[in-house]
Amino acid sequence: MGIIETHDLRFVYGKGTPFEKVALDGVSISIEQGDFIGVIGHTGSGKSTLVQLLNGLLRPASGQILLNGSDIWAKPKKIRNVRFEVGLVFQYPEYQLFEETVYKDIAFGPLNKGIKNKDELDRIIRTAAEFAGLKESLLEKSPFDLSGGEKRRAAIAGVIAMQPKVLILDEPTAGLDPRGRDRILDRIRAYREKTGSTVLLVSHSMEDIARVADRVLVMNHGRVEMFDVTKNIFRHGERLSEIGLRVPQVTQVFLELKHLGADVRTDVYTMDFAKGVALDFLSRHDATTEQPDRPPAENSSAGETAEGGEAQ
Amino acid sequence: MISDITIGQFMPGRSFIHKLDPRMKIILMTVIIVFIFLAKNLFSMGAMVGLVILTVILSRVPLRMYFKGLKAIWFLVFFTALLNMLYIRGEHIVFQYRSLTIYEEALWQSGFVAVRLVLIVLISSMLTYTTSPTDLTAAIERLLAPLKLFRVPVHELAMMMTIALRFIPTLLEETEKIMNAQKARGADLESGGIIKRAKALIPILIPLFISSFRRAFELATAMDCRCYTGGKGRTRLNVLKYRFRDVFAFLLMGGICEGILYLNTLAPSLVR
Repeated sequence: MGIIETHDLRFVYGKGTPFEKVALDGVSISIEQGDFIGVIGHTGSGKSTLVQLLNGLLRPASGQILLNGSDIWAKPKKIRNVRFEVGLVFQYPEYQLFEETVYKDIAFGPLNKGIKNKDELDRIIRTAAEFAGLKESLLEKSPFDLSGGEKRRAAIAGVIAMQPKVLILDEPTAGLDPRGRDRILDRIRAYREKTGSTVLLVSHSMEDIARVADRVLVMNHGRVEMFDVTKNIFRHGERLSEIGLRVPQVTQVFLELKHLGADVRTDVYTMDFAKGVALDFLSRHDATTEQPDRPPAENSSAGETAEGGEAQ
Repeated sequence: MISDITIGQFMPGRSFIHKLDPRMKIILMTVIIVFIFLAKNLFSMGAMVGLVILTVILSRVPLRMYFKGLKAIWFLVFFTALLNMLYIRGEHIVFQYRSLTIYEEALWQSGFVAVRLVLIVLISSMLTYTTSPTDLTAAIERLLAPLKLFRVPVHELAMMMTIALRFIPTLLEETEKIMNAQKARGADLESGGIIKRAKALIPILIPLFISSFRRAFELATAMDCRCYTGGKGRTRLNVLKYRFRDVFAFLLMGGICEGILYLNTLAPSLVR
């Protein structure tokens, strides 16, 4: 049994008005404890609706959401408890900051949860800040004096501080520079390794998903298109582009190489792995062509092409 | 829900009322409101009710929308009618119980007040339902233009109104987003006494204020970038023009006004 299961979930926006729109239909998924799941889909595919259903901000039109085996809407008055178990970080979460100091803002969630003991609260806040990669010196600053990336990490810390069993992040890297993006992804990965919690990451960036997710959920027009381990998902390059998505750029490079007649694997989606595959291919290539006088410069230029592909 | 608020909501359409010049619509609406107050007996008030219902039907906006607008003032109508009924004195007593006396005149008065309020809300929501905010402010700007002689910044006022109307839906959406974000952090907005509830609004109001200021600065910069310098020398993309149907509506209204005044003389006034 998974930590979260959904059965035939359906959600409709603007029910009973001329603007009625089915946002989700027939979504049944099962998420295991400790999974790191990437959620992808083009704009309007129902990703954001799905994550808001999972923590009880929206109520499904029909279908069930089970958290640890019990229906979260069994007692509608207790729905707040579900939000402490399933922490949701919204898109652009920095707009939710409101307190005088970062410290107080991070405390908002745990205080709502009912943690009164001062020492415990302090410990929780400092751990959460550390997970999010916030320096101690930032805690006493006003959240409005931080940089964009810092604000976002402060907001993420505010959700982590509720100590949720499942952490959902809706496009946590949108609008950040490459370094800010890398830091957030690294922090999320470290957080999940240390606490063993379940993480769902919604993203438009295939590179981000390829880097961190074990399994990928592909949404299309409110339905589940694919739900499988990352490697298998990126094998379906054609289908992905049909529904307005694509494979990571590095995978694209290897698909292209294969197309040109090179004998390489195509289930490549991270840079580290790509390096190994490329080197392996080149050494085999050198061995078979038997050109001892071949200048080594050509090898390195081939390697750069692959890397240049990802850097774009 | 927040999305139930219908102030300034425009329902696009192609009805006769939609096509009227917005300036004419504002003028005619003002005239109708004046005559709602001039109608003093059942004949003339009946005619006004008929006129308003007719325009509501002509506007082809779903009746549901009008009911939504009325729902918001239901309490106000009831309360003013009640006060009128209890406090107005007259000659003919209808009902007496200890110190509570209700006169026939008071009953008429409160009935008329209620009907007037409902009619005013109907006719003014018809104006906003059938006129786009841009048209509305353009019309107000033109109608108030004579005030420029007295150094009233008419253009600036109209621009402020346009911007305010334009940002109502944006702000509602933003409020909903922030509310969700705080709810996701366990904010409890639904329970507790009045003080607790007021306190629970702080995490929503502060981010909302901050983002409104941010938006305002961004908008100002964007307007600067397009060389906006106020109303001087500024021309319009769509110049408002009176057409045959506007003249027709105007003349028709004139006739109706005559009729109302005549109906007023047929029977004694029921209200002051």
